[in-house]
Amino acid sequence: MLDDLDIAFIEGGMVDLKSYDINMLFDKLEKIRELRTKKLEEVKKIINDIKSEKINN
Amino acid sequence: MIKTNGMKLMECINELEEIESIDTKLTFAIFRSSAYSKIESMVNKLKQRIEEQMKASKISNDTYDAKNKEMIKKYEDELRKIYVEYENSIINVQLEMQEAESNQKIAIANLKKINDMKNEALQKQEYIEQLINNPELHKQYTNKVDAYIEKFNNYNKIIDECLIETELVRQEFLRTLDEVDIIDENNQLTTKNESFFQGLINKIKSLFSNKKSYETQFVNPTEENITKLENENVERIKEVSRKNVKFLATIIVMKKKINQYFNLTAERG
Repeated sequence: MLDDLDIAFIEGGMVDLKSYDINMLFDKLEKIRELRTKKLEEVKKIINDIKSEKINN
Repeated sequence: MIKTNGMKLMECINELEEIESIDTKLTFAIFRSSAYSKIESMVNKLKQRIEEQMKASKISNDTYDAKNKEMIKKYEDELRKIYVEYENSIINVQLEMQEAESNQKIAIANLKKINDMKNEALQKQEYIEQLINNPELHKQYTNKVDAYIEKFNNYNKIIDECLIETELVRQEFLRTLDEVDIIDENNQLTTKNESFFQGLINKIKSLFSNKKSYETQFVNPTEENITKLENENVERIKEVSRKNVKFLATIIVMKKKINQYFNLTAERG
């Protein structure tokens, strides 16, 4: 009954969740969220450049 | 080749898409992983208790095999119902989040588009003159840029709300499982804390009727607990769904406000 709960589609393939420690998954999530924050900061910087472009032109 | 701001933006959009896709997969993996270990440990606790109680009442496994399996199955089914409802909540929150992420990218892409159009126009002398002589046109462009930037920032707020809600739902799910643990410490044939007389009474009882004591002191109360869980689950599941709908409604309101604000800013004269 629980067989379908122990797998999840991560890292591009089906993996056995029993072989993944939950803390490891949390670490991965934390890293990916940090990456997202960095990327959004990058977007904001470019947007600000575009905004100042319009003023200069 | 020097990358323009527009090109850099498109690169960021693609990278964000990849990051968000991994985020979703990890979020579900974490939910499933915590659900799996929690439910497995609860079911194992029941199995272990059954074994202990059968041993204590000195009856063979065959006698109550079907009954025991039925109890385990019913318990698993009820825990499963709770899991499914909380998973549905997480799916709904994640769908809203994905929509917000898409809309955020559309806002960035549109910003890039009008910036490209402006840059293209500025290559031609007549347009430069048109822009200089027509401050209204310049204002329209500025308003659109501001509106897209605001849209981008506001969708970020929805995404953050969804990220928080997903983790809250996961934690509430685990707390709910703790609350519905049916293993009642009192429903034991032999307990560590039983008094001397209670122990004596239990031993005498088991001498006369091991089967009866297993049934009355363990099977019946455990079945009652499972039935109680089954009944309570009806309202519990409705409540989980209600909470989810309430959250989704706040997101819908936020989306409406974003669009209204966007229209106001973009059309501002």
